[in-house]
Amino acid sequence: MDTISLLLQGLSVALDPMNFALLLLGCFIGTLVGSLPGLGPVNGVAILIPLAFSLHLGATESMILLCAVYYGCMYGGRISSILLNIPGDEPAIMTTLDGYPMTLQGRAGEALAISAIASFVGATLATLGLTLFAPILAQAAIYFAPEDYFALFVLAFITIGGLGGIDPRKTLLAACIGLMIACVGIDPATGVPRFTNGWYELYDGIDPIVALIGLFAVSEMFWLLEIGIKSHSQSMTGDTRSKLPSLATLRKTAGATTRGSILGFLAGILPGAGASLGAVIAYSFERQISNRDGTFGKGDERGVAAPEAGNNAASGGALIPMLALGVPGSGTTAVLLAMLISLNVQPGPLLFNNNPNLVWGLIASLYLANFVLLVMNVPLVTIFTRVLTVPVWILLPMVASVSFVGVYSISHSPFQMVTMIVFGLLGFILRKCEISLVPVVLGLLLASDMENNLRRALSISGGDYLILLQSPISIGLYVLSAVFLVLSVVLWRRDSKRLEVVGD
Amino acid sequence: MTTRVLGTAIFLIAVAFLCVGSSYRIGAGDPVGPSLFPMLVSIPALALSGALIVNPRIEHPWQGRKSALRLLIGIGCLFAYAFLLEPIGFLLATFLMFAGMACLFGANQKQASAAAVVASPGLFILFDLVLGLPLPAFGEWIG
Repeated sequence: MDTISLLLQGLSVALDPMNFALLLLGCFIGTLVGSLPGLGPVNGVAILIPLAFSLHLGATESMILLCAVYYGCMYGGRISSILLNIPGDEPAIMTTLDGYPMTLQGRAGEALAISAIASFVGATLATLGLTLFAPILAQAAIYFAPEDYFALFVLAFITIGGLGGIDPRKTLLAACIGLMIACVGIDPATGVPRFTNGWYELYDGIDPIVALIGLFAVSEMFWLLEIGIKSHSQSMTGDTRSKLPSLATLRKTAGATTRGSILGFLAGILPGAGASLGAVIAYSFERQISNRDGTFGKGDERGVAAPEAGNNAASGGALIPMLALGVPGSGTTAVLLAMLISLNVQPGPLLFNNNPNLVWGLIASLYLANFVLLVMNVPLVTIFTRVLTVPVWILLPMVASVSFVGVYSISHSPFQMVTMIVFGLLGFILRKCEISLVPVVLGLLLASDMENNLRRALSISGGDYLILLQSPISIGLYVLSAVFLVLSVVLWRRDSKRLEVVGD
Repeated sequence: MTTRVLGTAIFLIAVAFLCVGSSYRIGAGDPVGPSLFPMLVSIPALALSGALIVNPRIEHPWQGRKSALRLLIGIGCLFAYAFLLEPIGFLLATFLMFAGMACLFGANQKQASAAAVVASPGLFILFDLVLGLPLPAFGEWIG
């Protein structure tokens, strides 16, 4: 009951003409960015943040705009997966497996419509989950003391690498790099400048937004430059207009969509997993249970529906820990967190009490965004399929220009533009070494909070380190961290052994 | 190899971090001070980068000399833009950067200059005039 009245209040925020216009714009930009190969939600949202600042949008308006972009990207990624066999962004990789075969069979329009509907169901179910669970989690988090928050941050860093058999040393080192970079600048508690080498430009610390644009947008450019990406010359085959699927097809994919949504949602809530994992899990699970006739990989509708429901549901799920605890579960939500922090809005339990208009306005606009995106992605999808023919040599210089303008407009300083490029190089080298960038960002963002909570806890106890291990919440979180750490090491060793066998 | 080099760099940085970080003095009424957290972070960084030097595991191969050259020119292009934006102005700097990057991404000279001629004033109109983000149109040399 309470939730419904809050949601109605949020709906009035979301339907404010300005906010609704931003929502439409965000959905459009998001689908566009998602559909362009090489640009995904992380880069898209990162390069738009400075623009949101410079236009003096408030926190609520900025969040509505950027979350619409985020949701839009999840819809848009599938378009080039299906039509060109090139995933528009990372979470859409799984959609190529059955989507492109459908295109080859002349069923592109059907694939686009089925995947849009699956996206809609996944995202809507996840938004529903967000509505129900985020306030509960936020309520529980009110009981967290500073030492519990410190433990929560430790858990976030340990789980961010996920259980995908990724080298846990690399994700943890990435987190340390982020934390170390965040130490640069004046220590807010004592006024001591740290690691600045006397450079006044560094006294304010590294602006996370500038670092993010460098790490995601600029490093992506360097990456594509080095691999020598070519404009794809394939013409799109056949009719790409969406055809509404028959009722029988919808019934056939209903199970896949629902299962994909639930799995994706759960993957999204877990820290570090994010939308890509949601799609992978949803597709693999669906193949396990539905592939009786061996139709998967040859253009099975369910193989399109499941991963699309999965990645869209995961993107909604990933917003839960970000809003309720201030601990993001994925790269894009980390970028959104950076924006909130820069606007002096601290996510976490207090956000729900102090700023209900932001929280519920955002949630209500996510429901609206889904309807808008369904319209943009079924009847209007041809607008976006045309954009796919833009060559990379226009697209990527454009990304460079927008990144520069964004950074310049928030800082007016060549130093910040150089910082952005340096972070681009750092991101590029880390990616070359198979080191994920998300933990770096998370470290960069959470360091000050982590340090404050540690110091607050220790000043409460008068410097007694035992306080860190005294509350049941923190002990529980450390046990969970330890279990996760052991599990990730075991899975990584198993996977790397298997790779060695294959390598022989 | 890349991982080893990177690991060594991070290892050395973490050593420096530990040395510099431990030198900050504790103020009154703050039992831990500004030193604890940097030290707490640099110790695992030391251990983990050390482990990567010993056993780097998988990494992405480099694409060869031609790619590296293209990358270096691209990096130079972006740095030049950062330093030239204010002196020579947005229109000219963006034209040069746009054309240069377009060439690097496979456009021929004609395509690159055509795209840059349209994009540079187009972006200026979008950002400066429509969105109201002040950009230095002509830079300092024209006054």
